[in-house]
Amino acid sequence: MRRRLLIASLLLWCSATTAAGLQTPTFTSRVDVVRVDVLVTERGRPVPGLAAEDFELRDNRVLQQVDLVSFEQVPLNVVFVFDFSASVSGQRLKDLRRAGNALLDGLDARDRVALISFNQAITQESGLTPDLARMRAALDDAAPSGGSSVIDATFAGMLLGESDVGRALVIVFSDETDTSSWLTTELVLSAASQSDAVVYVVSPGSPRRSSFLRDLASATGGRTFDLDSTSDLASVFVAVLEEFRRRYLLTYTPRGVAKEGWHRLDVRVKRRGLSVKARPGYQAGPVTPESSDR
Amino acid sequence: MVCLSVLLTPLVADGFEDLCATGGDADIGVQRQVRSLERFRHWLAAVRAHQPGTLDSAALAVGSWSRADLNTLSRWLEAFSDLLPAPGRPRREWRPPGASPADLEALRALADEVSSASGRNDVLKRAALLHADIVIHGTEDGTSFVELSPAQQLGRGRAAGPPARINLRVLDGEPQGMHMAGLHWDLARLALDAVTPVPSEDGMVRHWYRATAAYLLHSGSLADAVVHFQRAQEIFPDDPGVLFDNGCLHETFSSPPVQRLVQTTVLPGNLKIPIGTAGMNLQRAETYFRRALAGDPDFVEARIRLGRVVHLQGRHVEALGELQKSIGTTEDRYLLYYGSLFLGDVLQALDRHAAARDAYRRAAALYPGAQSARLALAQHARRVSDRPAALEAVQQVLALPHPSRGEREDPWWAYEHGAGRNLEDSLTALRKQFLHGSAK
Repeated sequence: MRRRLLIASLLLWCSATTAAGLQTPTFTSRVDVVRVDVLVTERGRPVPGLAAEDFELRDNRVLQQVDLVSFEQVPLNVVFVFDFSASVSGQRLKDLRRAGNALLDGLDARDRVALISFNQAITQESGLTPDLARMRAALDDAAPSGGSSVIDATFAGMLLGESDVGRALVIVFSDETDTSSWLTTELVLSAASQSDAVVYVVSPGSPRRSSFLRDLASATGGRTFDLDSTSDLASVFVAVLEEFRRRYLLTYTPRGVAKEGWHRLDVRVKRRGLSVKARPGYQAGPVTPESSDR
Repeated sequence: MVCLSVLLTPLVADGFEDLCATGGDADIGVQRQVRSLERFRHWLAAVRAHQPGTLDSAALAVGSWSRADLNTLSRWLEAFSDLLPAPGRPRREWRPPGASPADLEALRALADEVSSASGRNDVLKRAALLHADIVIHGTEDGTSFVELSPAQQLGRGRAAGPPARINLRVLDGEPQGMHMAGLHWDLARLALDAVTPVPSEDGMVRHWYRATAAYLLHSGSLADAVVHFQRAQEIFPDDPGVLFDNGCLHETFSSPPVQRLVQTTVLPGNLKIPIGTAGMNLQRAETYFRRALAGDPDFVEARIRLGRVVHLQGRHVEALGELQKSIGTTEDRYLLYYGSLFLGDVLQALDRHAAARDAYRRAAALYPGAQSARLALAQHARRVSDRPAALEAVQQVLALPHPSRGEREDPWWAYEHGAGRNLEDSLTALRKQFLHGSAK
């Protein structure tokens, strides 16, 4: 299963490379596999032990044949996208560092982690690395100042997370007040529709913010945590990691659907009483005005 | 720090003002009795002593005055200006509030003395420079930082002087609280309004408005900019630079950060932030930029910004023409960067992807340390499903030097400064113009 997944990932990469050369991405049943990251819960708790036959997946309403990979088999690419603008200082900064370290404690040897900090500038404090000591040092060294480019930074985080065959978990910590991004929320949400990364958002302060990060989490099948204070931030980060590890990775080769364009996904579990969270769909091929109006 | 204006109903404004401590008074709402003539003499001495462009003792002294003092000063300044002799212009004599007949006589004598010593316009312009310097180089005046409560008392009489305005302070997109707007800009404008024969014919007045506009945009003092730019336009309705500044202000108002702030900020009672929608502000910006270009067709930055606001309103073909024209007529690297970046956006919207990519690449080549152009390349590559190119562009952003090494410069970060990008030059030129003899 793992070898098949590895091949599928490489083949998907080849597909993208072909697209780069020809600018005409194609969708052939032999080489193009779609990965869908799914969280199944019962009364808020992840449900273990499900098999491929427990799921029903529809791509643009067409039932698909699903393969399943348990998440433990796939190494993680964890990308921290942390707000280090002027508003993150004092106790909030300490809590953030502590939370980052707590999550690092939960990683295993195959996992890789990166830290992108942002204020006005986006900075890679550390690229994807299995070297946790280096990551801990990067967390300590990052210093807050200036404005906020959270929209730009989350975009960079998503792409960095996908740069490797591991499963991309992007954890964004920000109060979400963007002051200086070049990219727009629409562009980044559109990019999210083409991304395999799952974005979890942890947002301190008032929940009456713009919906961008919430929409981003939703578009990628992730979750949003709105915190009144950062005193429990470490437990939230650990919970994010634990929940992510318990997600299922469904793969399938699309059949019976148009190749390019927006593909709406409908993932269900046959057993009753369970909730399913997955990305609402994905964009195959170039984004067009029609495909961006969903 | 950014300041936005907050609109209040008159009753609420009165109540708010009364809640504000005036210059540190412990008794809220008490208007101190000021010895107005003496205070005016002090002010006049400060104006004449002040070294433009500095925060000297004269500026510090006047800068420390309370809001009540400045309110009173404004009335005395008006009365004084009306007493200054001007050819072909009869004096208008009237007593400011609290002034006795003897005070009026003394004020008249002061006006005569000032006029014969250095001329009326010299002192008026010096006054404008003094009050501008107090804001630009010093701390704000005696405004207060008050959060309204529902139980405030309403209905007290409005203090004399300029209309009360309330500003909302914003730091990194977060509202920090409201405060009464300062009065130094009002006083400066009041002084220049009395320049003869008319302010609109005075080059230094124009230059003052442009230089202070640059400061207001650079510092994010958008609340003060609204009134300031409006007055500049009333005096210089067809000046391309003044029109451009107004266009920049509305373009900033249309931006996502400002619109998000307006939409998400909760204000008490009847308060609201009087900024229109993004669409309304883009239309206004377009109008101002077009008028600026009507007066100066070679105004490259006005044309670039016109292209951008037209593009943002969905008229991509029209935007394309403006941007292509502007890029071909400038060698200014900042303007070329903006033009190339915006051109890339327009070409992308027109599905001319190879050309869009080339435009973004040109921008990236102009400022290799700028993240905005590389992010534009990344999102474009992603849009056309070129994942490797998208990742490469993002990795170039992530490989940029750490900001702590001071090597990051992104022209996009200075876009909303408008003319404020050249603030120091503008202020230096203003002082030189005043000091080397254009004061009349």
